[in-house]
Amino acid sequence: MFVESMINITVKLSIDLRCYRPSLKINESMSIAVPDDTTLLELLTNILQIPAHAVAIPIVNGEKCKLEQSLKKDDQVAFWPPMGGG
Amino acid sequence: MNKLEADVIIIGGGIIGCATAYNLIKKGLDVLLIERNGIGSGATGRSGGGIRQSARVSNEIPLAMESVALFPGLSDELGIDIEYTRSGNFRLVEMPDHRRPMQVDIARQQSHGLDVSWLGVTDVLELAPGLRWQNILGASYCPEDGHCDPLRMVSGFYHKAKEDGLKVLLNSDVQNIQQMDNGQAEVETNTHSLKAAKIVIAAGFGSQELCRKIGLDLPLQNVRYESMITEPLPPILSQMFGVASSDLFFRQTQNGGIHFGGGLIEEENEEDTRTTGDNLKMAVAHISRLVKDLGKANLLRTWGGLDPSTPDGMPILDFLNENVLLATGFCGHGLALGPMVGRYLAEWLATDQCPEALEPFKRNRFDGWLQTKWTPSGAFAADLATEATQTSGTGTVGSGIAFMTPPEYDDAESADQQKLLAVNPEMCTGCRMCESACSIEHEKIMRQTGLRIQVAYPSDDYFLPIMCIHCEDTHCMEACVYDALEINDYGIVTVIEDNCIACMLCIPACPTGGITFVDSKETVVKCNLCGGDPVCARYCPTQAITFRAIDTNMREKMDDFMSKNLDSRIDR
Amino acid sequence: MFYGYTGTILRVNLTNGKISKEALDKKMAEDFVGGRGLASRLLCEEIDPQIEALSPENPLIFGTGPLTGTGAPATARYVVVCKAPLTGTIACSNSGGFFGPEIKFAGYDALIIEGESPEPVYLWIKDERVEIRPARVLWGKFPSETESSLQKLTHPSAKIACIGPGGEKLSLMSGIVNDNYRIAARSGVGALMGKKKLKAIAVRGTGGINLADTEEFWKASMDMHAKITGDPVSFGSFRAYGTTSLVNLINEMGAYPTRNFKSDTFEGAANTSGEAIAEEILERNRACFACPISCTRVTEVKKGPYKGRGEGPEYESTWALGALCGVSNLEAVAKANYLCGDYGIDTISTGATIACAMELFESGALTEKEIGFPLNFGDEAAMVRAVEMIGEREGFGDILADGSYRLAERYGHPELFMGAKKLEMSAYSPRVFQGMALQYATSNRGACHVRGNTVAAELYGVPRYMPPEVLEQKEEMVRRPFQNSTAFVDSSGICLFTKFAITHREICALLTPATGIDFNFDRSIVQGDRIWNLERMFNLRAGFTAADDKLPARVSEPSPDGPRAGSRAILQNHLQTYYQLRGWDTEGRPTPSKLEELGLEDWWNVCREHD
Ligand SMILES: Cc1cc2nc3c(=O)[nH]c(=O)nc-3n(C[C@H](O)[C@H](O)[C@H](O)COP(=O)(O)OP(=O)(O)OC[C@H]3O[C@@H](n4cnc5c(N)ncnc54)[C@H](O)[C@@H]3O)c2cc1C
Ligand code: SF4
Repeated sequence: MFVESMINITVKLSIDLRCYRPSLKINESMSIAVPDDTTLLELLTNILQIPAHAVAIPIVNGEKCKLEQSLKKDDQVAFWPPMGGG
Repeated sequence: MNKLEADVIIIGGGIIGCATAYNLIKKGLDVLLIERNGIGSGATGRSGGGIRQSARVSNEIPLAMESVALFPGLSDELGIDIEYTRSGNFRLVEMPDHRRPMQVDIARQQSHGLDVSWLGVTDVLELAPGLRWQNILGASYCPEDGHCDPLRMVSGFYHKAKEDGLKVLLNSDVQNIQQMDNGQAEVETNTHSLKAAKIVIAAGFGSQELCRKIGLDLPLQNVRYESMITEPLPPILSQMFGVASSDLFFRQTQNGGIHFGGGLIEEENEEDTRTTGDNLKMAVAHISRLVKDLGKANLLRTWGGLDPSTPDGMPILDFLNENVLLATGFCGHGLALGPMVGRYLAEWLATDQCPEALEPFKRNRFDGWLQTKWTPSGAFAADLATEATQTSGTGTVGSGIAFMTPPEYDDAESADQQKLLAVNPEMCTGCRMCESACSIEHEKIMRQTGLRIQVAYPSDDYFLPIMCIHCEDTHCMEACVYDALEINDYGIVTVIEDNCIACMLCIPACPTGGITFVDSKETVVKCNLCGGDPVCARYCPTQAITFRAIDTNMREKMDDFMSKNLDSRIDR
Repeated sequence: MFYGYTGTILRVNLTNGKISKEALDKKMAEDFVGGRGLASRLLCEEIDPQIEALSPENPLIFGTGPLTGTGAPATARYVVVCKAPLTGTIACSNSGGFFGPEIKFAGYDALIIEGESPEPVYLWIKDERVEIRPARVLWGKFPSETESSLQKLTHPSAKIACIGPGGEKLSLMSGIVNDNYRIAARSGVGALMGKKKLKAIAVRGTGGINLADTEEFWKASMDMHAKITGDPVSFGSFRAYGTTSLVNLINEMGAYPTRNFKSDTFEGAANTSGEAIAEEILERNRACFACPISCTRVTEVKKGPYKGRGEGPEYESTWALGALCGVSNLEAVAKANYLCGDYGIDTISTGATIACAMELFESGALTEKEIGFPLNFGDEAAMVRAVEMIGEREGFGDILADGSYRLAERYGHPELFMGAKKLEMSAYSPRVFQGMALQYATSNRGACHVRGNTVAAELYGVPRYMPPEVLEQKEEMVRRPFQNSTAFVDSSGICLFTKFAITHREICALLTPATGIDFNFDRSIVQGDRIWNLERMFNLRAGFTAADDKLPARVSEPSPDGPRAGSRAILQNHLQTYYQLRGWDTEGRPTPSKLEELGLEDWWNVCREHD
């Protein structure tokens, strides 16, 4: 018997990226279940279907990370387009 | 035959045609429905009856969610039991290779707010004990999905509409649609010629042909689906079932028959509703692997049905010209969308405004598609497409910044069209880069006075670059007594510096404030469009100034606009 | 003949009404570029840094860069330099809009305003004609009224820089407002203008700026234009959301200081984020002179108690008046921001001072009787009320108007002042961004974020990504690509916000054809270093020492909550490495050889004095 391993994570989209899920409120996060070895890149391109080049700052639990990183249970993911400011 | 004329003529008596007619009648419009055969005789009556939101491409999910929400109330609303059960929809996974893609796909659907999740085989069996566990690894499960009887549903819409005044022409084949001079369009059937302001093509498999009559070749491909039903069996399945990466679907109807099928046969001949032995055998073998004790049941009937597909798995809902609205291309899953699509189309027809929810279904998403060969794909394969084909992605959310998206200009340049600087004050941020460019280009020094273009600030949120618009009246030339201004063949007015003695009579004569005096030169100066490639338009960061072909309509608008903004002229 | 520069410095003495014009020293311009560098150099010539800041001896210098007003992208900046009334350090506040370019068109690289007028006056500069005129009727007016009155009194297209009631009443947090809403805000430069009784400067320039090689200059401008408009930051999020696009991001990272730095995440951030501003109060974008970015947003609260209209709030303002005070009502924050504009006071210091008062109040050090009403964290009405009182110096506002350092001292809790060298920190938690910690501690005008915004590297990855918590190499990063580079950019007259799309190379490619002087990458680094060291020497002479390069104890304690709970600012060893890299001794003083290398030998004795 297979062990079914889906993990729950939350995802937030900000600034321009919100146009990919217009129904989300500002800073609202959605919770979804993904296969446990999903990478951020896969989350972006296959699940959220957002082109990877639109995202410059992926943040997981408050840390900026690389898109190759795999997700863990209860990760809080937030994606940001290129940003700057002062 | 005048009595059959109407506000709206609907071609096609399937779910789309009938639901639209029903909603239009509710709005008090005068509607005529034309159907080639009988109501529901197309894909609608032949369909699987699945009412699902899950396993759809992303942009269709919101519409499906809205539509499915209408179903619980439909029987009451239409006054007929449509045999709707909200028992859930499974998408079964049989092969290990399909498991992960399915899980990823579930996550995608969840991210659109859909209540769908992955169930392991034990959980699946608990909900659907009629399945054979040996061949199932798990499934996606959406509890809010379900199924209904399609024929009852379509006839419900039809009869309710008819009670309230819908006019109908059955057994009439629409052969042509023509636009007329008076703003109406004319529909020609084998027996009648009928006129209306708005025509809806909801002719399913017959739609492509009608589009071609209008001169549009849209990427619609008829696909044949085959299905069959067994003799009534005791209740064993309550949900709707699909299978990952196969086109098999099945459900048990209320009288006990197991209704199943599949298809995906590209079909050019629009009336071909055959069934083929090979396909049926495959479907029978497949369902027997998944459902217990089916081996001995007798098949009652088999039939085929046609539904057009599009390259991205979503319908086309859009006006083809002023009069004709097309609604087809449901890719084998339009039944569930019908009630909501009917509502929105009626709203669109009644208000002339495309409902926001239908924006993703416009036909311009296929601009350029016909050049490339495409094959219709099953929904699952489309779902798994790694590239986001459906999102607009221009990066503007919220009404506040909508104006930051530059308008699309048609750059068609034709010989008889003048190219001029067009100004869009909506886009102007008041940065004065245009002035800077003009100064550096023409004066070879940076300054803000005596320029050929200047930005006016009538208020703190309205800015307006002002320059000569090369108007047709050439007030400046009339005012000049020294022949220092000339107009060339292209309508461009320039200063002949040798003739100019700087009497400055032209300056107040110009209604836009397009002429200035420059002391260093001791002549007046004005915009000469930089000889054909104006620097201001190149330097303007927002496309508030663009250099482009101007038609007479635009020309008039500009003249009008500039003369109205006289007050904003500034003293520089 | 000068190119890029106008070659003239205007000197106005308000005490005796003398107006004179001086030629720009070309060598000085080459060494210090212009703007911040040149004005600082001029200031050092004018005064002994030990003088009292709010005194007639302290001149107010308005400086422009060689690129200001040249029409190259984003060339709108001017600076205000003096000895800072708030901090006692060198002050250099800068602002955009249209005022800076207008000074250039009128024919001046810098204005030096000295002395003190007995009566309120304004200065009217119409090209070479300069007049000191009475400003009795303008006194007490808000900047917007001042601007419209002055445009009637002078020229309809005149550009105005003025002080609001805050500056008139010598609030140490007041700034100088130009073009209605833009403000050279920090360090209290408005108070000095108020002390001089100079209500406003109105300028109208009809002259031109010569360019050494117009063709090259235009090519370089177009190149820069293409780079900026092709950049997803400068031309993307900045345009759509302005600086406030950062609110949710910094908060998500757990680096958004909240309630006087007690915590680093703010639960109400989303309500005051750039997205919320765009959706709720944004009217439209505006640009400064020649700027393709147009990050300014005109906003309006249409109804309710917080009705008002203005520009912003920007990221720092949203933060100071919002999270720092625990306020999450966008309209209240916007209103407070509009009020700060009306009174001409710095939003960061104002918010920080109110936050400090809130903490004093909640801890019992301040009573309701003293303030006049309860001042709790999160009380938006009280926050807005406090802003008004500060602007008017009314009641308790009289004490608040001098900033949080003096407030915290006065009530016996100096540890509740959240800043360095008397200037309040800004919206990037030094507990999380180690680069910012070092920058706050060492910045020459006190804890400010724009002298070296290392968040660019520690988050966005410009010029290259260095994780925020990492300590290695942060000293070099703070020093060279941030502090020195910023000094150069500020001096050139170009806006710092272009730096996401361009580097020194592009700026030099503009400076050379504009001025005819050879600017190049290597020299620009030295110029930046020279300016930084000059400012440091000013501060040392003014009495600051290495002991002032420090941060409040609170930020060295672990962050209590949020995704970065436990992180803290680490300064100690850091600081010595930084001094070393700068070529300074262990006391943070430039060594004689360093000064010689930079051509600042004349400052030797300042170092020796302290030995
Ligand atoms: C076998 C099968 C199974 C399906 N299963 C499901 C399912 O489980 N769930 C689901 O949601 N969807 C399902 N569908 C798809 C769904 O049935 C269709 O997408 C939907 O019914 C389309 O409705 P329609 O009104 O656009 O077209 P149709 O129902 O095809 O109606 C078009 C009508 O127009 C008439 N017409 C055509 N040309 C002309 C002309 N020139 N003049 C006059 N009249 C004309 C036709 O006679 C026809 O009655 C299935 C389809 C098939 C074939
Ligand atoms: S350059 Fe464009 S945006 Fe800027 S002022 Fe001119 S027209 Fe307006």
